[in-house]
Amino acid sequence: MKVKNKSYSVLLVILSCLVALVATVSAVTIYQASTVNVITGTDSELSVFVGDIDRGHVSFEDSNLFSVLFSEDFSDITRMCVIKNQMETDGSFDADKKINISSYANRSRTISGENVSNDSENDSVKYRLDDLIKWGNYGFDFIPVTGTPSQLDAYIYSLVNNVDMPTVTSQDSVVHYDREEYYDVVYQMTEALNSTDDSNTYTIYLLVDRYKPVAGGKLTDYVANRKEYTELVSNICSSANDLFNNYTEYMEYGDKYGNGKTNVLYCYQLKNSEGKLVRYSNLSQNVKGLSNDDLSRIFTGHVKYACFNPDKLQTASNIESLNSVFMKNVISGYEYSFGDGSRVWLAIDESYGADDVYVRARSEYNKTSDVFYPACIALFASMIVYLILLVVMTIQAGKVLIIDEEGEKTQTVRPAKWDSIPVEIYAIVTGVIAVLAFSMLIYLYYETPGMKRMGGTGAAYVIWGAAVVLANAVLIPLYLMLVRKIKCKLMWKGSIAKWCVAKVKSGIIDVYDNGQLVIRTWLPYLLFLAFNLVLVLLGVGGIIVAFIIDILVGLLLYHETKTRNDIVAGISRISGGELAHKIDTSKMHGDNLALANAVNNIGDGISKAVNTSMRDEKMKADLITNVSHDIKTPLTSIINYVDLLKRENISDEKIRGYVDILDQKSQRLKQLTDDLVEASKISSGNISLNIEKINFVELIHQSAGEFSEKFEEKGLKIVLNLPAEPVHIMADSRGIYRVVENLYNNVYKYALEGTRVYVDMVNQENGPDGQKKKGVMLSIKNISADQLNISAEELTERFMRGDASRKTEGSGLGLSIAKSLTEAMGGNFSISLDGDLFKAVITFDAV
Amino acid sequence: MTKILVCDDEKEIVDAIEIYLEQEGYTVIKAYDGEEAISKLRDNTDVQLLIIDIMMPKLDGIHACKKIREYSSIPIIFLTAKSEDADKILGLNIGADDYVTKPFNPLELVARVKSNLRRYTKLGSVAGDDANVVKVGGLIINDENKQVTVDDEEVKLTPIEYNILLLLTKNAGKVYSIDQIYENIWGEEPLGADNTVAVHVRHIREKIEINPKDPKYLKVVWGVGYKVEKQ
Repeated sequence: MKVKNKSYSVLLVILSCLVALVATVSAVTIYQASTVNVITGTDSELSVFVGDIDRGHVSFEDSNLFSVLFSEDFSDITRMCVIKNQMETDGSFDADKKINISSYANRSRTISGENVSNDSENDSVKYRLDDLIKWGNYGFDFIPVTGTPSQLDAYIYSLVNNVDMPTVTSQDSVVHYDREEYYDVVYQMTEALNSTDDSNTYTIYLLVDRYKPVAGGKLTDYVANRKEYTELVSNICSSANDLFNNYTEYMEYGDKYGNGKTNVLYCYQLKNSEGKLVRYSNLSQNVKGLSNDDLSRIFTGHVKYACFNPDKLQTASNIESLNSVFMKNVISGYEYSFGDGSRVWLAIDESYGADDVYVRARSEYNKTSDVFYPACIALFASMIVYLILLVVMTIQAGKVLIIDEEGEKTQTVRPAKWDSIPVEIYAIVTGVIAVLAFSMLIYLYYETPGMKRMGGTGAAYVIWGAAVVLANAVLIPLYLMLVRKIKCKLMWKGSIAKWCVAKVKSGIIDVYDNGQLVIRTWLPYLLFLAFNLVLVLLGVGGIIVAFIIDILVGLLLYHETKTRNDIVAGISRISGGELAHKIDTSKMHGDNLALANAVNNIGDGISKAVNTSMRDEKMKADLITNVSHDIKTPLTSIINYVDLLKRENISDEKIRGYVDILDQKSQRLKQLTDDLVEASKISSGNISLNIEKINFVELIHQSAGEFSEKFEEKGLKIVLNLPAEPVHIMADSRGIYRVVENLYNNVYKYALEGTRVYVDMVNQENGPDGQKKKGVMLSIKNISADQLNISAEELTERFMRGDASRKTEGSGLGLSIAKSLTEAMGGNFSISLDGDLFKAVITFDAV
Repeated sequence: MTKILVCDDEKEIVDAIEIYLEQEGYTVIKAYDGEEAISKLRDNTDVQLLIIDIMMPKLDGIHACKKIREYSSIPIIFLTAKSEDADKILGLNIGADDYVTKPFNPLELVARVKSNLRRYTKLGSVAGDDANVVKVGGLIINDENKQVTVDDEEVKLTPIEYNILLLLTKNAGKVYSIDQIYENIWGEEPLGADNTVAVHVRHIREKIEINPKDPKYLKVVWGVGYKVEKQ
């Protein structure tokens, strides 16, 4: 026999891997062709999906990608110009620039940029720009002073007014606070201001004398009280910090938007700290001398531009996203720089002279349209092919062609060797592998730089392709294994769950079938109770489960009772005579099974015994009948020739006596054979009875008439004591006469001559079988001529007679035949002996 | 001389029967199996009665009887050891006229032979449609002269016996209980238990029947009553 594998699984799996690879490559291509990854602004990485609407229809400058990039640049350039406005004087960084501390710190709070100038020059504290940047980076030195609020007030007062120093709680040595830390100082001092409770002490920090304003003098010269001093310190700290941060950004912007580094052209007209309008631009020509209109003309001359007049919220822009609302939102953060007369001009230099993000994005944007559609078609086609392969693999899974010796081919489905692995293990392995594969793909997507950037296309193809092929190569065989399992119906068969269920079931059945009575009854009951109790304690869910289990237990009990009923029904059928009946034990267990088997065995035993005895009786009856037939023929000759002898005139008295004896004995032999046949027939049930309604009284009268002369001959007087009304019984007419006839014959043969024979018939409450049914009893009593030295039972046995000497005629079968016949007709026959009194009693159901 | 064919495979039985029948003045032709009986019957067309055993070699009595009945209507008496009712019924059904079981009483056999011969030879010659004549088979009661004959042999009955037999014969087939007979004959209510009627009936049977224990005309329906069988 040859087995040929027809599943082609190896080939199909390899094919599916190839198709999956094609699909992956297509997908990666589509992803890369439809997404542009760029670094925009100062540092943010941006991944922009290039929509189908843009691609191939609009130029790069009209695309959403350009719009996004330009918006980012607008925000960055705006911020850059504002910072320039803070740091530069006449187009270059001015380290000597004097910064008014309080106006700078409060620049955002004012509506216009001029508020700071409201303070008189003398009152305003100014520092050099480079000093502030330096301090902002390095930190400040403080002298902490601790005291109650009033003490601190007095302390500042003495400093401000140059009076004698009052006593303070403590005055420590100089403490340095780094960048970011000095905000804590400001916070503590502000807290101290809010309290007037002298029971507590607070600490304030005085800047050391080193931090002299540009105008000279001590800091305390510029304030009037502790509140003003606190504000001043706060302003100095925040200004230094902000300027340091802005300076850092200023340097970075220089790298990004410096000359020749960007294709974005801009010109910002801002108001500086002195309230003058200053222009910041990267246009090649000098913008100082140009009017606003000239500038607008220059910018609107480019392909894409955006001009904004914050005063009037006027916008002239051909970039959709750069509308007045967006521009106003961006500028609103720097309101202090955009005073009256400020303007913004932006445009793209369409010559793309600088190698910046626009150049890269533009080239990728133009590339996308080339490969997108072919890749889409490839992906779609490969997915269709993959699906077809999957269907084919599902259909072919497990198919084998069996070729036997005669070359006959049979196609069938067979599991592979490893398909016997339990489905649970399979599920766990598959689950783990699937999770691993999925996590790997996620990891690859987020963690591999080449995946997201256009630059690393090759790496993306290799990694994604390898990952998908690997996952496919592992998961498809697992899937096919599942298919084979389902096809061969091995899902449940080989599973661990089935094993567990079988173990539990066989365990329960084992206990049930073989366990002790106590274990079998109390263990399940206690388990049931405990189960219910625990489940009910578990709440609603538990009650539902308990309810379901109770229903199952109910069904089990029902099944048990039903089985018991079947057994009882079987017993009653067997006892009703249906000996061949068998109780179906296929679904029984435990006691019921044992019981049913026992009942079946009893039925078998009885059936066998009955069959054997019936066969034996039948054989005996047949034998007796046949033998008696064979005896009858010679007997006929004997009787006939004896009769002929008797007819001869034999003078010899002796010879005549011999002939008489021959005559008697031959007649007796005749009677004997007849009786023998009849007795054997009755006892073997080989007679047909015609049961009908009989008047028992009539029958006794008729019988008495038949025997009247016979009895007279022996001087027997028959005394009838019968009911006046007819008494009906169900019996065979000739059979019942045969019974009475035999009894009378018995009387005739064995009764003492000259005695009376009593024949009584009584209606009874109970019938022959003792049930509550009306019955009739006939009794025949006589005095035996000979002493009865035998039991009543033996009298009805065959060939038994009252007198063992057998000196009179008769076969001895008469009573036996009467008893058998009576019982065959449903009556009861009994004989009792009391001294010489012989009494025969027959009972029948009265009708 | 009336010829009777006797057929039995037991020679001694045939011989004994021959002796009895010859004593009565019949001529006996002997056969020892069914085939012989048929051929002898064909040779002696003047045979008037056939006594035949059932269980015989070559051809048994039943089949021989069937064949004979195809061309002859002579009386056939079965003589057999088979004593069951079923055997008797079968024998009578295939055309036998009587049935005697072995071992038989020679007198009974002779009586049956006579009865059957009488019926066969003289039947129908007596008293036709007389309203006063009641007839059941071989039993004829002439009410005019109160004469009862069975197969042409006169039977002497007492008046009561005669009345009982007349009642039952007139209503042949109907079963009369003891009480009903009493009422009809004595014309009064039966008083208490009495076996008078039963004794009379037995006496009638003994007079008109060849074998009173196996009556042909007056039958006892045990537990019901008595009747004369319709024939």
